Amino acid sequence: MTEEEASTIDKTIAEKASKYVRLAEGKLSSRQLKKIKNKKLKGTLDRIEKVSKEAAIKAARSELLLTEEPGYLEAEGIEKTFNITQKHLRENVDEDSAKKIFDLKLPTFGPYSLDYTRNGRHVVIGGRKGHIMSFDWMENKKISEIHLKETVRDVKWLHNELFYAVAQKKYVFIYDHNGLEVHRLKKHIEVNKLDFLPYHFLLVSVGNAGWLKYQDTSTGKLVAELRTKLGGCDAIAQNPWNAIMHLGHYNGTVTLWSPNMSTPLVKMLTHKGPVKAIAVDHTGKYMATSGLDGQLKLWDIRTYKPLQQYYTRSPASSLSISQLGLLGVGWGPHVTIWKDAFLTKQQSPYMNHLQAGSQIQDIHFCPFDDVLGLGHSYGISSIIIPGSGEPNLDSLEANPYQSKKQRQESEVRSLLDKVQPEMILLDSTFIGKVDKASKDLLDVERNEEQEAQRDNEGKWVPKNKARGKNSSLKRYLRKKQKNVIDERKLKIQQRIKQEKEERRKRIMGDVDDKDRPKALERFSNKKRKL
Amino acid sequence: MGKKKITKFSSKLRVSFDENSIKTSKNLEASLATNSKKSQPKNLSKSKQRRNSNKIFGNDIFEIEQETEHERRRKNIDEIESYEYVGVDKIEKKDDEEIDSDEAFNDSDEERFEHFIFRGSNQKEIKKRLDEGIDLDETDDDSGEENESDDDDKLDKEYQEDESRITGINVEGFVGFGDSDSDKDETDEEIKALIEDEEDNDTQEIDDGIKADNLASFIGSLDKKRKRTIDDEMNSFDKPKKQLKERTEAYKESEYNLATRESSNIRKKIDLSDLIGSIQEETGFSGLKQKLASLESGGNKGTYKEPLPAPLPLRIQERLNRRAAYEKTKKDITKWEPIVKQNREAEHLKFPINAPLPHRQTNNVLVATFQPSTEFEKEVNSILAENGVKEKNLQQYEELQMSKLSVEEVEKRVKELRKMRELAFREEIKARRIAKIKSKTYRKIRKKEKNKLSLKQLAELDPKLAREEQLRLETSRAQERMTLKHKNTSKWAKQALKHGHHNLESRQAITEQLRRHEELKRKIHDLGSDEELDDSSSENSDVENEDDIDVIKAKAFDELAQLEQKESGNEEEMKGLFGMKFMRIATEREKRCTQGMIDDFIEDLENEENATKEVKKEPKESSITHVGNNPGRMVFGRSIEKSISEHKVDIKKLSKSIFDLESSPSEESKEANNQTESINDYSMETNFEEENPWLQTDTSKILSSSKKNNKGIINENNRSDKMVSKLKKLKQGDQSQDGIEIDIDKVLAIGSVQMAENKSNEKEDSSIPRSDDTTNEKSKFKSVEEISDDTPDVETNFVHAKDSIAFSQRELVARAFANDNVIEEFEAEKQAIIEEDEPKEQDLTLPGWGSWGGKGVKKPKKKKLVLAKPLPGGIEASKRKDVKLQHVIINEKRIKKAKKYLSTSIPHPFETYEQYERSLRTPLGTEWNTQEVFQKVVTPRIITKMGTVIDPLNVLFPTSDLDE
Repeated sequence: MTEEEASTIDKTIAEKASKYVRLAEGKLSSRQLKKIKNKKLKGTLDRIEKVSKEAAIKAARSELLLTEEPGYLEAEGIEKTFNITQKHLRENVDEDSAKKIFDLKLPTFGPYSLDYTRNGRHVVIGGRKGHIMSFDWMENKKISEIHLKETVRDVKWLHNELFYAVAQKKYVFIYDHNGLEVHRLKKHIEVNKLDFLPYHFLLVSVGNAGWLKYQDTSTGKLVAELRTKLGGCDAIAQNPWNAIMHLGHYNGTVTLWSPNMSTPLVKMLTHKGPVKAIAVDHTGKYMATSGLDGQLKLWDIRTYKPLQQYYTRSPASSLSISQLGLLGVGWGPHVTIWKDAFLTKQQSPYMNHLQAGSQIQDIHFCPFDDVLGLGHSYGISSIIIPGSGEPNLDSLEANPYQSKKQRQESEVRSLLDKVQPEMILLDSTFIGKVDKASKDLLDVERNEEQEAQRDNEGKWVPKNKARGKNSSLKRYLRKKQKNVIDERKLKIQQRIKQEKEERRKRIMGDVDDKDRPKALERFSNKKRKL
Repeated sequence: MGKKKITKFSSKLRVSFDENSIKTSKNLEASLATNSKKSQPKNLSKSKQRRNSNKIFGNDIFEIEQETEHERRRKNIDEIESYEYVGVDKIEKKDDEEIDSDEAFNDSDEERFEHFIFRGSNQKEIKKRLDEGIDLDETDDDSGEENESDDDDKLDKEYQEDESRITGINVEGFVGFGDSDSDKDETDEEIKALIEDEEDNDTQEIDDGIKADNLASFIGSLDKKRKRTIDDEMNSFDKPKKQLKERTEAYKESEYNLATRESSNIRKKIDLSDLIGSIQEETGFSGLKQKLASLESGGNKGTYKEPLPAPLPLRIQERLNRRAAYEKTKKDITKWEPIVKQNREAEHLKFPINAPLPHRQTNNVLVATFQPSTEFEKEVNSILAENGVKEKNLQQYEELQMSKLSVEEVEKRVKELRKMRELAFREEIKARRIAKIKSKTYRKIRKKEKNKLSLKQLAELDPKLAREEQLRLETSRAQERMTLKHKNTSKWAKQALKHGHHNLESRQAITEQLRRHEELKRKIHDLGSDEELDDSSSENSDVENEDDIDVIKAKAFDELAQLEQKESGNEEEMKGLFGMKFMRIATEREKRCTQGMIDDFIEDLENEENATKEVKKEPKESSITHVGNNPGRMVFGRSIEKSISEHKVDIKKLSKSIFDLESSPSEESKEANNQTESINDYSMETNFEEENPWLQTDTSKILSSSKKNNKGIINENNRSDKMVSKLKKLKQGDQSQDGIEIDIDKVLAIGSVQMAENKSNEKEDSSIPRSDDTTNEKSKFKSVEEISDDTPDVETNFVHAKDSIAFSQRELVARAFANDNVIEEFEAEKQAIIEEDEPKEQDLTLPGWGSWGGKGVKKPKKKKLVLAKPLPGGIEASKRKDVKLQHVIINEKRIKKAKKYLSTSIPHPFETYEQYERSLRTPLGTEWNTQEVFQKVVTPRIITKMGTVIDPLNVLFPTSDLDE
């Protein structure tokens, strides 16, 4: 390799590394770093800088290992990608991929909502009229199927494919992979939507009463019950980056919630009509909302500013953002996929799909696969959306091909790595940072805490201490007496020992043979004996 | 008991003892025997020490002793202070007589003080007596203090007996001893203080002799002081003792009187003459005398003059030793510094340090020693061997090849090689020489040259890239032109022009600016060297295309046309001399002549090619037309008629579409509308595009200019203008009917109505000020539209919110939610929250305090407010994070549950939180890092290898050794 080649490679890596560089907050420039006089500090900071730079470069270099690349539909000449239907695709793709396009016609129990596991292997579907089924969609293997004969509003997988939660007519229930009811969550009443935070093991529900409830599924504790005060809620989404819940309300606002705060962290007015659906990008940067006012809006949730807005013919009922940032919009019987929608205004969608004669209820992109699952009034269907799923998977994070053992191990590991609910904040990198509140405020808070502690303790009652019992003289005498052996003491000691032994025997029921009633004793004359 | 007693005396008592002894001296001797007996019963209750002294020294002494110790001490101190300066003259010689030691210590004393050990005196005698085995009563008193009280009577008796035994008491000797003893103690203390002082001041390097002198003098002064005080005491309350004055005899010299008493200022030292004085008188010591004489004179035999200084006290000696040792070790220890520093700075320390690396074989070694061991290797080897691919064979082959060459060829090769080497060498030298040049200007020039060259080369190599580069340059040039930095319009330039004539630098700068201006102008022509550009530059630029005849012709025509124009221009100007008739006629004639020549020329050209027929007319018409009645803006080389007609069509279409909208907003005629509008936009833009090729790169500029263009057109067509305004009014009416307030500045308020409004506004002179954002958005949107317009909009399911189609949709929606005052409610909520979060001030005014009460008291107009600091925790409205976001409420409350994950202060090595947080930003876990980085990050600072002996640190290059 010549020098030039090496330099070009270095350049490309440096370019790539720029996305791995973690920006520091504040205005500490490298020049200021050089000005630090404390040599030791300067040394540490230099080392830190060096490490972080190296980490970025190494990460960029390791991109080499990501062998797979996402592929998109590419139109030639006059062709348009949105004209390519699933039928076309099925004819042209390989057999394995063609299998991913399928329909489950379940007209009696619809409309269906569905959910993929985190590794994208399993699906659970829930028909409104009480039909629940979980299956491995890759192998077309049914795992469990139950009929609840009760309204089912939403279904959600928990941390792996062994458990799923179902929002039923009144309560939320948890079922295992055999379809057995494991828990009934009585506190979650009339729930419309469910969500699950996998790193925190929190099941989140929101319903008609407008209460947002967080239940820890590892400990079973109800972590937080938050009153939204905004009426029933039918739109929920989690920000996977910081585990903040986004709720959409009837008055057109979207509120951001953390279990640590009784009021919303952020409240944004997004629509003029009720919010129908929300989706958040997995990088935590963008949010899409659709409202009954017929608008579809895209937001930057770092700045809370609108990016783009579109009108929909009829209000979008469901939104989903894929791992690679494709935006899926379900409206009426249609599903439209938009590519690169957040940064530039798109003129035409990437793909279209028409589920003729039905209403789309729920759409979900399948993780790690180019598949979109639709739940509609006549069952569910699966369609191929090229370039939607992440092609390179981290098997330690989510592995679609995991064995039983791997699943068990990952479960244990994830439980060990469980993140506490107190750590849910808008800025998820806050841990370990310096509290920048003013000193006065900190003092006030400390005082309050102390007072609260005092209140908890109750009134102080003086201990009945036997003062003077342990004076130095007495201790001395005691010590002195230890060595003194006199007859009386010995006698007393012996007696005490005896008594102890007797007591022990009495308690154990181990009475001496003499005392024990003998078999023929009942016939003997007791008086005589006396 | 004697010794014990002495040691038991407190120093004070001893002092008093001395005092007494000095004062009483010898004349007490006689009286003591009687007096002591008298005083006996009085003293019984006193402490033993006191009794002792009393018994010895009698009544008068006892009177002194009556004073409390405290008093005495105070007095002592006072007197010392006062007498040092004041009472010097009071002291008389007779008061401080010195007593002969021989006299002072008699046999009787020896008996009495048998058990006292007199340092350096008659120890022998004491010994002798001990040998003789004389037991004295005092030995019985060993039982100690406990028995004191019991034995008091007994003791008293003993003392009486003792005293009866004493005939001529001379306490002097004893006194002398007591004196010296106490002296020593005190001086020791003083020395200590002195030393401490010295230590503090770090002036240890004082000569020993000086020190000793100091010491001696100090001791002397102490004596003096004491004596003075004592004398004074005596004077003060011992008037009858004045008889002592009469006793003026000198004390006799003895060993016990070595520490001399000095009178007032004169220091009396014992001289050698003092010592040998007695010898002088006697005979028989001639040899000794001579020796001493030589010693004294310091003449021939010895140089001895001064006695050797006394050695320093042991402690000081030791301290000096320690200091020296410290210096030495300090120096020794510096050799560790580099290695310790290195270890401290090291990121990791791996023990054992400097362990020998495991031997690693190089590839060459491996290859050389390779022996095929496995079957596979053997197989491969055999195959290679079969085909003759062996290292040896290859080498041989190469050698053979070389040997095949003829001698000449080899020579040639060698020559070539030599030449190449020579060239390389020269090149190297040249490069070195150039590299040495330090001139900045040279570097600058060279850099420029290089760049220029590179652009040219680029054009040859990669035309596409070159074009891009050129485009970049062009834009930069355009920007330069826009900013007018090169013109003399800036403040500085004006100043410089005004005042800077004398300043060489500023003049240079101005010329530089002018040059730049010129350059820029010229370059623009260079760039746009198309047919319709200026003549002078195009001549230069088109030199290469000279073979193109058409171009030359066109140029010629242009020239002609311009000539004509010039003339026509001149016609109007003719005044004065040229305005006269004959002159005019003459010029007319001349002109005709030239016109004829021109015509001939043109005809000639025509004959050559028929195609130039049209051209013949054109130049007269002039290809330049003004745009929009604006003399400053021109369209070149293109007939304006066409464009105007186009505009007209557009405007017709526009008005038509607008009317359509107006008449039936709910109808589905939007597509047509959309199309027409887009076409309208497009046509306008494309018009301009063709006209201004060098502005093409920046779309926003196009847009802005197109807007201007629009304006111009609209000015021309007042009719369309009116229609648009009419429409606008109508729409506004509609809006007011709907009752929806829309603020354009708000980010929230998005709707096609506004957009339409905006559009109409743009077409007119917009009276409503718009925020930059909206215009930007608009422009962006437009540009996107421009791109997309060539593809038919097949998909109409999703419509851009800003499209005109949304107009009706928006209206419908607005009607549907007309009752929900969502925005107002939201704003009210936000306002409430802002107010709630504002920092609250505490009003600490107490009613009635600080003001007068009662009848007829006026209330102060200004009520004084006692305000405490605002309570912590609030946030001002202007500092909120959502100040600029009207559609967002951000919660500013603190999350207390998260507090436990925050640090309350900046951890140790860091000084600011920025530094600290910088250290936090790179995560350490495997989830975020590659394995390599992770392992590096979590490596402990000290790594020890299990089962190895870790040697103590050793110095590789001890620096101190090198020094020595």
